[in-house]
Amino acid sequence: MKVTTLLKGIVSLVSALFLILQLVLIGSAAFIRPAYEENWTLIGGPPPGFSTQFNITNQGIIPVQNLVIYARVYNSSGDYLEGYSLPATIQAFTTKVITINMYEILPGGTITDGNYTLIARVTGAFLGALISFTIVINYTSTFNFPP
Amino acid sequence: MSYSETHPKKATFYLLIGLIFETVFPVLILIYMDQILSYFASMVGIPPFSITTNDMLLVYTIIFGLIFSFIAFGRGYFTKHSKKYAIFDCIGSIFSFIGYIIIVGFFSGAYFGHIYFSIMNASIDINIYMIYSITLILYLITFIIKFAAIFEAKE
Repeated sequence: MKVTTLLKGIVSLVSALFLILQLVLIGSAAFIRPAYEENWTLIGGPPPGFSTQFNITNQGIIPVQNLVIYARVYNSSGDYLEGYSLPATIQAFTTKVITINMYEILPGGTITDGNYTLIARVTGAFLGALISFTIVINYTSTFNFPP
Repeated sequence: MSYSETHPKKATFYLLIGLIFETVFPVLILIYMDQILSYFASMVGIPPFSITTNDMLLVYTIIFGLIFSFIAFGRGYFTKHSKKYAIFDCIGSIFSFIGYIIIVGFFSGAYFGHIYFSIMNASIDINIYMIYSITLILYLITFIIKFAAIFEAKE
């Protein structure tokens, strides 16, 4: 057997398997479903803040690694709260509740009930950093903060 | 004069393995893509991409259909280990390379190596840059090997 014949076979096989893996990973990223659950809880400071929750569902077949959510609450007057979640892993076909502690952007400001927009950026990766994803969600509603 | 370097049974086996990967694989892609697109379409009412599902599948079928028909034609028409076949196979690898770039480009928006789409109030950006680069390198290696095979093949 010639060297090139053997090499052609090996490279063709690796390429085909790699393309299949690629499709599976892209498909898996498309099946991450973040859902916002408004559940404000007062947390101690300083600075004072509130925690809130996201339900992240992984409907794909590959576990999500290093999933982090950055969220910010704002309205027409300006930014009020922002925070990050701790890195999490979500196994295949499972849902995980991710809690974010959000703190006042300008300490000493007053957070009152009202119409706000919450923008969340969900980032994560599959198989190390072979494929990573960012999901941006906008959620506008009347937020009622606990006293 | 035709030339075969391997035993006829071995040659047939290699040919069959190659054909399985080059025909079953694109069919699997089509089935998988169809499922994803249908799933999104049912969720948001419209396809999440800038082109319609039918357009996408049509373009995909034509591009990959041409690539694999081209390779299959070459395999069938020329003797398996002749120089003509090696040249044909090498050209086929260039088509595969270009086809892959075109397919990824369809989903990439303005940024190559990314795939963008939206579902309801969420926008999704999948960064495939690393896996994309590795795939292109694999295609490049395939081309180099197939190019080298031209010089090893006999008339």
